[in-house]
Amino acid sequence: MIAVIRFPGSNCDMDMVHALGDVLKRKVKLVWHREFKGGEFDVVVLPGGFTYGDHLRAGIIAAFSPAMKEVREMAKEGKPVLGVCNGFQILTETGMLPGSLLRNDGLNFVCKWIRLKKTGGRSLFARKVEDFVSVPIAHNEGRYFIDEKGLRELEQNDQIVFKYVDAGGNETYESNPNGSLSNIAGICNPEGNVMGMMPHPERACEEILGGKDGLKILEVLK
Amino acid sequence: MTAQVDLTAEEQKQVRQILGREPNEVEWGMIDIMWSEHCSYKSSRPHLAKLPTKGERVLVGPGYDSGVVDIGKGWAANFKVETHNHPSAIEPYGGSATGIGGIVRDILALGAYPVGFLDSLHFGSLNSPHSQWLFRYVVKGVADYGNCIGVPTVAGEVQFDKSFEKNCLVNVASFGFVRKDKIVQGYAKAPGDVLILAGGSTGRDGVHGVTFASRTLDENSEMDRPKSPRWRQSSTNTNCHTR
Repeated sequence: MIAVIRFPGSNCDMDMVHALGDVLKRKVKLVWHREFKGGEFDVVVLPGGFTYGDHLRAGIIAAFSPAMKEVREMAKEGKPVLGVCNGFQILTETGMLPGSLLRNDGLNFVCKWIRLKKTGGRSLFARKVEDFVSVPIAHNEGRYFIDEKGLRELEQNDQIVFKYVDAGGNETYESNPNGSLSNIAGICNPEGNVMGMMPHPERACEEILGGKDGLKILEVLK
Repeated sequence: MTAQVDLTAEEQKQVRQILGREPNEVEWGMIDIMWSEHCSYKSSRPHLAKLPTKGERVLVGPGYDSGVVDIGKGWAANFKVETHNHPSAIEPYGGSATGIGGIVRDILALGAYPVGFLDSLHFGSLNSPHSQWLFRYVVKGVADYGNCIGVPTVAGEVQFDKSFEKNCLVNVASFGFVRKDKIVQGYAKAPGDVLILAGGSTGRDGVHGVTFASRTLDENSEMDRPKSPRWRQSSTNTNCHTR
């Protein structure tokens, strides 16, 4: 059973439940954060949104919630944990993933379809993904940053899962929508079972939405 | 006159006449709000009266938070339009953002789920730095509020003409959908009815925001700008929809 946790201010929760439940026919439950018990689930997804109105800093208040203690336990047990957009911000704020997400370099909210290249083989979530996927992004604080030593570790451990690329598959300045360090769009923990990504796979799950590449990322969740 | 109100002298006289006495400060405050341009549309009412409001498919007409029409197969759609001209003229970002906040509340208030926003914006000449400033931040306010609650602004129009230089027009609209049998109407008419007021925490900066719409804008209006706009209500939105 997959849990999608809803915090006050989550707003992509229903989309995620739709993609996993209605499209992929997985058993999925939308759970209010106060009622979340990790032991009842095999997988947990932190959906996008503006938890607690982004007060103080995106994701930081949710990061200190009791629900996230449960999520941390699940991660230790090796269960898959996926954070999308604000969910990624929560994962970096808890320290479950390294680095942080800063304000976009253009200082504006960016909402558009982008192309991702799979760069990391370690992540459980990238197993079914071909080399490239097209999915939308929609965020104001998505510029991934980490210090030099941290970046080296990510590279050495094969933890960088997705990078922003152009149509030809090249990591360029133009294809980087938010100024992320090294065009990073998504990373995982060294074990590969915890992944955070800024793009929204759940918004690319049906042709009517403009594409369904996102399913290739969500497909591994059972 | 004990309380400071934005009602005209004539309106104040009418209040005393209806009540048959001098209202107290709280009453003045309430009447000031309910009779404000923002809440009662006193100047636009004669024009609004010309619009068609009756029909087979009209489920909820004028007088409630938003209008509801039957769209068939057991579903209904509701719509709301609001102007936020005065607040946007002195504080474009907070002014337009709270316009979205107001209309999304009116969709939610009927038990419906909000799905989209529209806007119709009118500014002075694009060559004027003042209008450029208003344009940039009004658009940002509408966009940011929508992004926060996960509802897109799907269409709109914008016009630039020097006649709007000192009085920009900021109109926003929202629409949502609801099962016909799940429409909720908020009224408590009988004694003993329970009124529940739900919402996020707010600051003092909104006090007199509504009655501000009744005033005429002048060069001193800038002094009325709130110091710390707090408008993010996304958590309230989620809480209203734990379906």
